[in-house]
Amino acid sequence: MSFNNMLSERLIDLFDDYSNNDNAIEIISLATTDGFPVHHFSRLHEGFDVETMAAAASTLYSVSNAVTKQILSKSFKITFIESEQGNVAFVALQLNDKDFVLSMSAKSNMNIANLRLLINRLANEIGDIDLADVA
Amino acid sequence: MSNLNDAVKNLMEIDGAIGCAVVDYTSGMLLGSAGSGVDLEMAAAGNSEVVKAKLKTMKSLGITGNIEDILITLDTQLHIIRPSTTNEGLFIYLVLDKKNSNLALARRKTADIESALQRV
Repeated sequence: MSFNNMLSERLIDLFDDYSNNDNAIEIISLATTDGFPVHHFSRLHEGFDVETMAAAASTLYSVSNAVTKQILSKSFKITFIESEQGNVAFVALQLNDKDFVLSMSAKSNMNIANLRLLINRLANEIGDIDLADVA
Repeated sequence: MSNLNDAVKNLMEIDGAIGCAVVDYTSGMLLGSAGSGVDLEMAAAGNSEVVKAKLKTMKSLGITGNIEDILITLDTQLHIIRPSTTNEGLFIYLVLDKKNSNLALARRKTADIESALQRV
């Protein structure tokens, strides 16, 4: 089995765990920072385009990174979008020295603190995947 | 095991409870809250600093282990802060009216509610 397939299997397990644990989670998406989708979960039946989500995540990563690093001289960690129907969070993470962005969208019954906790926990678990073991 | 809503509901059933919250101390944000009379959003943010300061002090002193609870006694109120063992980075915050509560009992009940709190 290839590296990518084995990594995908680990991601499927993790995404399933988080989405099954809380019905408020609508979308979980992992993409490269240059806008290519790696893996995603969606509870939405229509209106979700994985390519668009990856592109949006990439754009937000770039903007957030520019603001925090170039203007504030700090390192970017997480960005939120709040809407009436729910919140979306974007977290920067590194895997095998490559930059990725993890997105999680939830319904309005999950508050922003809960979303922040879950996306950070998932990002840590993805970061803990033993890539040497996977390879 | 209980979820966040159950935990908050059970905390408010403790004698003398004025307000309560489940707080993420890494951000100071509220995951759940109930009660009135105290600005719980403000209290969550402020008490997150209390927890972080205590952890930092323990580290400086070379004390290993975890905080079981922090009890703060005010003129008219008692505050109980109890970090969650199942959810790293969260703590339970309970505000009690001093004259209507029993600290020992409230502390015991808070411990029970915390141990029953399932992983978020």
